Order: sequence, then C-alpha cells, then structure tokens
Amino acid sequence: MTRRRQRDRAERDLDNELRDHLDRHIAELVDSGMPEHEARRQALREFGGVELAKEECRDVRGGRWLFDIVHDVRFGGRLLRKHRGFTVAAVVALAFGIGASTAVFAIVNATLLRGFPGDPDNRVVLLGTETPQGPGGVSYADVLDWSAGSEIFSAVALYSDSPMTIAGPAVAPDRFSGTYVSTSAFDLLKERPVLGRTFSAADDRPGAPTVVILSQKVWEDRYQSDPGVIGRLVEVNGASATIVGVMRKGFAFPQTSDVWLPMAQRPGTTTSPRDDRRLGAIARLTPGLSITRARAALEVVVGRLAAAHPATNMDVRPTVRTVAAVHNAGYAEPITAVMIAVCVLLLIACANVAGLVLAQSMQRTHEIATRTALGATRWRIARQHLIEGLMLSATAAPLGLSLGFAGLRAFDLAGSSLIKPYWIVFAIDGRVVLFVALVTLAAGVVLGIAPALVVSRTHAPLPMGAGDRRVGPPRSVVRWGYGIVALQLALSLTLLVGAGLILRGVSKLLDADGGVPAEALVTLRFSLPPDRYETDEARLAFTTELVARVRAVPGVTAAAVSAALPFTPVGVTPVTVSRMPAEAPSDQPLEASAVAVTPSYFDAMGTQLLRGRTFDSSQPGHTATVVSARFAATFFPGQDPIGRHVRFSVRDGETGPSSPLTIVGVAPDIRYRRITDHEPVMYLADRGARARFGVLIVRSDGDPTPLVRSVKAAAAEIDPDLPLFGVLPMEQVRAQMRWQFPMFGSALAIFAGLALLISAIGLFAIVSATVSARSYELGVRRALGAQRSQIWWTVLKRSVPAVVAGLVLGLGAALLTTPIFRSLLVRTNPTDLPTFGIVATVLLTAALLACALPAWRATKLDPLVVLRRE
Amino acid sequence: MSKRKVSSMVASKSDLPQGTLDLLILRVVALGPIHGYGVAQRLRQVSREMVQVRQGSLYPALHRLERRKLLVADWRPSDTGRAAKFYRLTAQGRARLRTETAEWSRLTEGIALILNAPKREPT
Repeated sequence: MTRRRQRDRAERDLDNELRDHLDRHIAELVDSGMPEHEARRQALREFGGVELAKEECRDVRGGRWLFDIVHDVRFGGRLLRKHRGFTVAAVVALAFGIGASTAVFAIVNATLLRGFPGDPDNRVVLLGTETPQGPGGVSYADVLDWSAGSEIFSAVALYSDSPMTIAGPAVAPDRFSGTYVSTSAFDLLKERPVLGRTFSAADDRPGAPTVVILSQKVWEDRYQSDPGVIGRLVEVNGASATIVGVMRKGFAFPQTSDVWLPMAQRPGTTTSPRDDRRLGAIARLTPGLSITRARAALEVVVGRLAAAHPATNMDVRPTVRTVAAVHNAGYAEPITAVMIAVCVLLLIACANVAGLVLAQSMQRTHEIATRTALGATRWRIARQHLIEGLMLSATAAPLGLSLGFAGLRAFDLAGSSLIKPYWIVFAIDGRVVLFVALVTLAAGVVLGIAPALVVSRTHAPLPMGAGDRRVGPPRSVVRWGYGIVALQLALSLTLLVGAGLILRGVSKLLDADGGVPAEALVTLRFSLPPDRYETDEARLAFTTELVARVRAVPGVTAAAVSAALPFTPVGVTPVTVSRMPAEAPSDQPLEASAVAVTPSYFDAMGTQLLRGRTFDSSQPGHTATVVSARFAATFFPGQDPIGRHVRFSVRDGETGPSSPLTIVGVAPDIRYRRITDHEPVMYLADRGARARFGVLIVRSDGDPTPLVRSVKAAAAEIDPDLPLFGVLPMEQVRAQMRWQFPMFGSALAIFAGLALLISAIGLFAIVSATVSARSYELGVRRALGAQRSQIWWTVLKRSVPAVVAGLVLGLGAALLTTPIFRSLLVRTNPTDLPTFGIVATVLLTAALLACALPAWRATKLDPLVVLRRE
Repeated sequence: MSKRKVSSMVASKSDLPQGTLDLLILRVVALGPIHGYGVAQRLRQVSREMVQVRQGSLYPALHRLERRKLLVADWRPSDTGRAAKFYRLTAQGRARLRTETAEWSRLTEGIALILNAPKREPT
C-alpha cells in the first residue's frame, strides 16, 4: 500500500471515529430530553475543538512530517508566487550574498586549499630546510639521504629554476623561464605530455644526451604548434638538445616555467656540498601517512644526518609543507580578511531577507492569527517560515552560483596579466559546490528562524474582526525588524571603513610614484653573455647603441637602460653613503639604494626633476649623481643638496668607496625595494651603461605594446644572438608589486557597497511595511488635523534610533576590527579620522534616504482614501 | 508530545497530574473492548464527575497507546448499527497497567504519609 493511500485511510478512520463519538454524545443528550441543536452544541463544547484533536492525532501518527512538509512547501510556493515583488527582492538579495561568498570561497579554495593539479588530496609536499640563516631549499646529498631507505615518501623529485635561452634551428634565439627537474617529477605530479614523452630515468644519467621538454605556450608561439618539433635538435643555453615532449597547456611547474631540462644537465649538482641548499624538492607522501607523521619521521632522519655531518647539518631542521602553505604565507591574511567580509555580507543579505520576511509577516498577522485560532501550533507556524526561508535560499542558490562563477571569472581576468603560479586554478570544483550547498542551507535556516522566533513569540492577537488592518504589526515584530536593520547598518559600516582604509592607502601609494606615466611604458630585459661582452667598454658600447637604435624606432619617444626594474627590488644595489667632506666626526652614513641608469632615464620614465638637472648625455656622468627626494630630505634636511658631494660604498664590502660624486639633481620618489614606503635612492649614470643585466625602458606616444616587435628587431641588428626577453608593460610591473592591495581593496569596496545597498533596501522595506500597516492610523491622524511634520515624526521616531544605534555599533566594531587589516593598510592609520567621517556620512545619508522615502509617502496619504479602503 | 501539552488538555474541576491520563485509559480499557466515547463516559462516571478530561484530548492519547502497542483496535459493528472503533488491551498493555498501578499506589502512599505526618507542636 502506498504511503498516500495509507494516509487517506488513516484520515478516514479518524473522521469516522470522532464523528461516532459526537453522534453518541448527541444521541445521549437528546435521549435525556435536550433539543437536537442544543445537544450538538454542547457535545462540541465538551469535545473542545475537533480540528485541534485531529491535529494532535495526526501528530501521534508517524510519517506525518513528510505530509506536512509537502503541504508547507505547496503553501509556501503559493505564498511566494502571490507576493512576487517580495520574492524577487529576497531571491536577488540572497543570490548576491551566496554569489559573493561562492566567488571568494573559490579564490580561497584555489590559493589556500588546493594542491597541485592532479593532486586533489594534497599528497604532494614541498621539502625545505630551516637553518639559523633562515628558511632555505635542500641540498642534493641531503635529499638522497632523506629518500634512501626511508618509507616516508613514495617519490621525491628535485628542481631548480634557471633562465634558459633556446636558439635555432631557423628561429631567432629567445629566453624563457626554465627549470632543471628530476626525471621523476612528471610522474610524481601525474602529468602527461600532449606530444612526445616526458623524461625517462635514462635521461638523468651523467653523460646522457641532452633532451628538453617545452610548454605548450612555447610550442605554439615559437614553433607554431608544429607536431614535427619532436626529435628536433635545438640549442639550449649554448648546448645542443633534442626536443622530446610538449606539456599540456597551463603546466608550468614549479611556478611559471616554460622549458625543462633533466637535473643531470645542471652543472655541478651531484658534487655540490651538503650545505649548498639551493635546490627545491617535491615529494609524494607514502599512502596512508599523514603530513604530520611524515614530518616527525623526517625529523628522525635529519637528526641522524646532523650527528653524521655536524659541520654542515648541525642546526638544520626539515620543513614539509603543502604547496599552498609554502606560497601563501604572504596573502593568506588579506584573503582571510576578504573571506570574513564576504561572510559578513552574506549575513547581511540574510538578515535583510529576514527583514523583508518580517515586513511580509506584518501583513500576514491576520493570516497567522487565523491559523492559530484554528489550532495551528506555534511550531507549525514557525516551521512554515523555516520552509519558506529554505525555499527562498534554494531558489537563490543556482542564481548565486552563476553570479559567483561570473565573479570568479572577473577576478581571474582582472588578474590574468599577473604572473601567478600555475597550480592556482580558479575553478568551481566539488568543494566549492559543497560550500554553496552549506551556505544555502545556513542562509535558509537563518532567514527562516528569525521571523519564526518572532512569530512564535507573538501571541495571537485578536484582529479577527473586520479591523485587522487597523491594528499595526505586533510590537515585538517591529522591534525585531529594527534590531536587524541596526545590525545590518553596523556590519556595512564596519566593511565600508575597512575598504575605505585600504583604498586610501592604495591611492596614497599610487600618488606617491612620482607621476610615472606607466601606461605609456614597456620594459624588456637582456643579459650580456660574459664571453662576448667581457669588458666595461664592450657593454657600454652595446647599451649606448641599443638606446640610440631603439630611440630611432618610429613611435618611440624615449628610451633608457637601467640596471633595475622600477617598483621591484631586482637590480637595485644597497649602498652606504657618506657626506664629503664629513660635517662632524660623528657624521652617520646613510643606507641607500643605488640604481644604475643611462642618462636618458628620467626622460624615459617621464618624471620631472624636482630641482637641478639630469645627467648630461654628451659627457658620461662619472662624477654626477641624481638623488631622490627622500634621499635629499633625510641626508640634507633643510638644505640645498645641489652641488653637495657624497661618496658611497657597495654594502657587500668587496669594493672600496667610490670617488666623490656631485649631486646635480633631485628626482621624485619611486619605490624600488620597499613596498609601502620610499627608500633614499641615488641614481648613477655611468654604471647603467655598463651593467651586465639590463632593463630597457621604452616610452611611446601611445600604447607601447605594438612597438615591442620593432624594438626587438632593432636590438637584433646590433647582436642577432642576444634576445630581449621578459616583455612587461610598466603598468604590470607596478601592479605586480603587491597586487593584493588594490585587488583586495576594490573587492572589499564592492562588497561593502553591496552591503550598504542591501541594508538600505532592508531599511526601506521595513519602514514601508510599517507605514502601510499603519496607514489607517496615519489616515485618522491626518483627518484629525495632524500636521505633516507630526506625521514625519510618527514614522521616523522608530527608524531614527535604529539608524543611530547601527551607526554607533558599526563605528565601535570598525575601531575594534580594522587592526586586522593592518597588513593591508599602507601609510594609513587604522583609526584614520577622514575615512571614518566620510563612511559615516555616506551611511547616514543612505539610511536617512531609505527612511525618508516611505515617510514622505506617508505624509501624502489621503485620509479619505485610506478610511474608505476599510 | 510534550508533557506541557498533556497537562493543558485537562480542563479545570480537578487537574490530572502529568502522565496519569494514560494510566486511567489503560485501566478503563482493561475491563473489556470499548470505544472512545465509552472511555470518556466511563472516566466521568467512575470518578463521580470529579475528574473531567477534555474529550478531544482522549483520542490523541488513545492513538498514542495504540501506536505503542499497549492497545489494539478494530472496527466492529456496534449498538448504533454503524461500525465503531473498539480498543482492547494487549499483553504488553496489561503488564504496563500492572507496573504503573503499583508505581502509582506507592507514590500516593508516600505522598499521603508526608501529608498526614503529625504537625510539630510549637514549643
């Protein structure tokens, strides 16, 4: 028998049984001489509520919950369809909340939780060491001992990054990020080639013929996806090698590599000393062994090695960490901060929807009163709300998932210009879907429970008569509603302050970059092989020629070579500067950064000098230097630095102090080594021209990217075997420097703005609902001669305290929580007054607007219309 | 069902202590197969109208006992000519009635002892 038929029979039996009871009672009363209708009334009275008894009997019966839930879902569906506007508003608000948290969780998942692709269970770990000198890699001899005879790892592979130049055949040489890897690395990572093969054990024997594997990108760009490339002989770093394989698109182990050679080709590896800890190592944990146990087991092995080789291994401790743990040390905190912010946002969205539900239930007072009178229990009514909440969140979930996916795509695209490790893949996987399911469930419960609590605590009022509209919503409902609104405003304020502080720091940073027109600049790098450019003169000749030829390329407005890439610490020399002559015996030298440039540097960078002049290009400035504003301010406070003499010594101590230099100009500050602040910088004109590694900076009158080809051609005219590589628009160089700041700042700002918007809508909804529920009362007041201002006050007197409470609460919470963002706050105090002020004003304006609109509508009520409606 | 609800079903006159309705029903049904209205009548008559149960609350209790297999019920023809649902005690129900009755007697004796204890004379 089906469940349904079973239920129908039980219902019929129940009906019959109760009717039998009443019939017997009535018959008895009639026998005792009572008129029949009188008897019926008395029987019913003594029985005390047939429907209630039925409900209670159904409760006793099992399997009833299913029937009820189907019933509740049907009822909820009818209700949501009936109040379409409310449903749409609630679903949209929820979808935003779910979408935002999905996107951020997917980002957290990609960066903090996932391991290498093909390693869903995080069984591949990175090995390293911790020595008194700081964290480091591993040495060849140590890793052999770590893996030999131990059962900790089922496979271990070494790797070492190295730039690689590929030359010929018939294609101009080019330089790539490359890596020497143990031949086992590909199997360990479960990566297959799309073409050819990966390395075999034979490739790793000393003296084996050199083989090379390319990334799909190199294969496409350099060989136009020619399948015949396998078996072709090329030159890698000057030695001939056979191409044996092409890896899949996106594979760039360990981070961003494009070319792989076997470890055996790395010079001097097998004979390197035990304390030469510069290799990277990955390992696959033995099945069943946890990372903690592996760590402990490795400690034992390492302890034995320390005893055997005290000279090299004394204070060495091994590290065993997941790839995510190693690489996210820097941005785990900001991501966590955004994650928290988004969860808060979801909370707000839920609270808001709950507010809307409340607003709805004010108009449902009548319905609920009716149901209560008919014998519906509080639990029954509360459950109805819970089910409606879950239905809303379930409807919003697919929409939220799509929004989250779109957000993730946007995040990925926004960051696509950034060079990120290959294993970070922004995707919706099983874990993300599970997260969405949990969030949906939680959202449904949260937004169902708030009104459920309120309603179940609300005693059935007595608006059963005609005047239900005349009675406003129960006080407790209104109080809850405003409580939620105050909470929302407080949370939005906290978020807004956080976002405001971060963005303020970001704008300060960008402003501080000396007005470099980054969008018109592109950078390329080169490195002069020591065998062909042995002398300073040879290098100087090349650099001078390069600048001259590139300058002549049509579209190029300026060009220069520098040893350092701006906004990065690459190529900057730390120096100690002293004044000439010393002003006092106690004169302290200045720690500064020296940047070697060609004379046209400031011209190419597009920065105006603050004082003095730039280098004179006609006579190489052996004795002239330009210093940064910070340099001048720290070393010559309140004095004119122009014409002063300094000398510097390179901090490695190998070379002696330089000859005296004359300061000829002061340049605006540009960041090099410090991320959030400026260091004192001195520019040296002669050395830039003689550097072995150089950065070519090209400025154009428009987008510089199309010029790259002709610039490269110009360089090839001087030396066809010398590739210019690492093409990077200056914008990217700058963005790469702590992209987290603007990225997470704007993400937070978007979330915070959404939060405020949703809060304002929530406030608007609740005030509107109150007004419409009280329209009769307000109409009567108007009819009795209340002034507009009095109506205003009647409406606002409840919402204004909620707004003020939210404001105060939010300011307090912001003061408490902004220190969390300290790592993201650049040159900004966590209690920055202007930020707090602006945010509070914005919030207050939005909130008051949300209250004022319905209040204004209330003053427009026509008493006649309102009263007639009843 | 919560205890709170059971107590709320009992209307004034004399409040039934919690959980006693089940015991009373078992006792009445023990006398022989009986329908719901019969139970209500019997309860009223035997208690000389002192204990009055809201009749509506009888049925959830009957159904609950049936569900716990302390009672069984079947539809059989009755004096009105229509079928009525008659309840009988099961072996399990009989056992339960015995233990609960014993329990109840002990409890009431104990309470009586306390209530009837000689008052201490003020010294």
